[in-house]
Amino acid sequence: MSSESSRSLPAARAVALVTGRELSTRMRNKVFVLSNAVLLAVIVGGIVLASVLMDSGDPVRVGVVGQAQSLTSPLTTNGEALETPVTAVPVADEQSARTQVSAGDLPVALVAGSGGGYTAITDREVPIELRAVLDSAVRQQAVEAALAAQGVDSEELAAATTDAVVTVDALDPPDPDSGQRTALAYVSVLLLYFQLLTTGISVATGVVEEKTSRVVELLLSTIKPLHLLTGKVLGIGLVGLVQLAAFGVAGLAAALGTGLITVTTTAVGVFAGTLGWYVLGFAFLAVLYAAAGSLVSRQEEVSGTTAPLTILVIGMFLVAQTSVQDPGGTLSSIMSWIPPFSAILMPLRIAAGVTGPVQVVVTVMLMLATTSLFALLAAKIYRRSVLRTGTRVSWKQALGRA
Amino acid sequence: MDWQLDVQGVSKRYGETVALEDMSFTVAPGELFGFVGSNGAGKTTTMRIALGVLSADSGQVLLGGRPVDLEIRRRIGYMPEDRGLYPKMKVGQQLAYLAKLHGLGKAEAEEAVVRWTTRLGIADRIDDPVSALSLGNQQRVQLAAALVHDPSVLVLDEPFSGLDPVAVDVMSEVLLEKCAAGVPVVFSSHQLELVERLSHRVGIVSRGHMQAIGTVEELRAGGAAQLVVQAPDAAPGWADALNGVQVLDQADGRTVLRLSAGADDQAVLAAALRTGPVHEFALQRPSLTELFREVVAA
Repeated sequence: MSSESSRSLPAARAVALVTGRELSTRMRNKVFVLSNAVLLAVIVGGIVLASVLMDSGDPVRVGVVGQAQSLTSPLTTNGEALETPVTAVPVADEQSARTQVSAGDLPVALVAGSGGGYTAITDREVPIELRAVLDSAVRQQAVEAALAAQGVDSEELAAATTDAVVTVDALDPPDPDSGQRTALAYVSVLLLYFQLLTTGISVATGVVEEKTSRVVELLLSTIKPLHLLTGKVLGIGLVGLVQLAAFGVAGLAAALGTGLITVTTTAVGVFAGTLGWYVLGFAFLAVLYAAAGSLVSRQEEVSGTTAPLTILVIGMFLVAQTSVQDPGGTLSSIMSWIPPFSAILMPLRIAAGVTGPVQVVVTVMLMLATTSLFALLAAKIYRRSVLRTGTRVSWKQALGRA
Repeated sequence: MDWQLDVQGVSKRYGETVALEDMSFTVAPGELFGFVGSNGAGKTTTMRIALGVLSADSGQVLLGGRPVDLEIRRRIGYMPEDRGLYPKMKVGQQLAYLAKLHGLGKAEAEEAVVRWTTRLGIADRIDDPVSALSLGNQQRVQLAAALVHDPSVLVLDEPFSGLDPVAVDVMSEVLLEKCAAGVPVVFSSHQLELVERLSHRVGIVSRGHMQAIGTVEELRAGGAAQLVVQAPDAAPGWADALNGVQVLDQADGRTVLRLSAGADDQAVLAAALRTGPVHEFALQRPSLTELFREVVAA
């Protein structure tokens, strides 16, 4: 029967129990599981689709009819030189070349004309890059033929002209990976915005859920408000982190697998940075969302009290979105020092490579310091408001010396 | 350990409003204490202070002689006035969670969930979310939530409200059983007949103060007694001059009198006999309901 010992419940166990409940009820929620499966499928599908659409690596197939087959070698070498790879495909006669072009099997087919000239059969027009390849191949063949007629050995000619190329010496060369870096930064910003907003609101509605259902009185007769608050924030934060990691891993795997992203180290760095800054940003916002939630007793009122926070998160997103185009600009440089803007701007700046370890360390410290300060304030508001049901508690009442 | 519950001189104000004024009472182990009073009298405030959900301005609550702190509070089974459970959480998971929050281990908690849901007739609903249950069954889950950690003290705010008659019987049985096991039980109710039938002792609270406390017999004995005298030949006004007597009603030879404390009922009988034959002379003790009205009206 009843054990006479008093029941001890260490703080860590109380927090762990609350966190465990948040994790298990949220992770087992069918809507949660299903919507995340759909989101993951959309992410992977979108990346695969993008890689297919953006794929320009395959050589262009150029049909060569009869005598035009002698162009096979100059077409290949000129294609490589002009960064428009070309494969020559032998075609039996002009008629079948026309059929294949009109059927869309070949973009273009070459038929020999008179005096070293050729006719390019195409459906509508020849893209300018391909046109350049065709022109230079034909001209090279004509020049070689003319020089051969003059008794010049074609191999000697080739040897003599090998080094006659232009080498570019750019004073400010563009970063060849900048496109990928921008894309990574943009994805990071989007994910952080989405995740910070949804998890923040989850915290607020979770707090209100306990007030609305009145279960909070039962809970607070056995554990401290601070433990309930901490457990809830940890639980929802962990769910958000797992979700974000799943999105990131799936997206990265798909992007690297399809070759859409080739800067593996940068991508992994941005991913890790996004997770880390999510944790900091979430901690900052979650305690405030919890305090805002504790002021009201009905779900309909949540959007009202959380509005200032939601505006803050949207503001963070807008600043970040503007900064994606110019990560090293004034706006980004200034705002990235200010919590909680650092949370969304720093991963972006890390992705763009416009920040150093000093700023990373200092902004992390600033985030931690302000978060602790706000957590104290939020815990006070929460403790004072969470048992008050009925009308909305004003910020003044919650903070006052009541 | 002796889990006597002592509420000592507890006061609570909300601004100008006095919610509790020097509220004191004791509930001994194995005692069923009924707490009655009109709405807003202070019953819920007292219970919430005992559970630490609300803090008192002055006074203290002791359990087993020790001030109630968080650790001792986990020995209390509580049913708040505002019923509340997670609506979407499964009955079994929810009860196990609450048991663990009261310091039970996993296995212990799961065993207690099976035991109490079986006892309260909701074992087959263990995997259903609370919101899928009827209101009556939700009340049973709420009671299970108060009992699942095998509490040493029970504090139940209106445990009978919203129960169907069968559930009232189950609830009464469980309360008496816990009492018999030596647990002090405090419960509030507006159903005074139920309080009268179940409670060993009753406290009547009004305007934040304990107005009367004792066993039902003591309270009734202490209340103003009524005399019913059936004397067909008595003229109207026959009892008006008697000391300590107030005539409440007189019709068809039947007179209802109220005797104030210390009044001599034998003098009344003698006076009645002087009017002629007396067919009935009965002392009626007030019911709890009448006492309650008297206290509240005072």
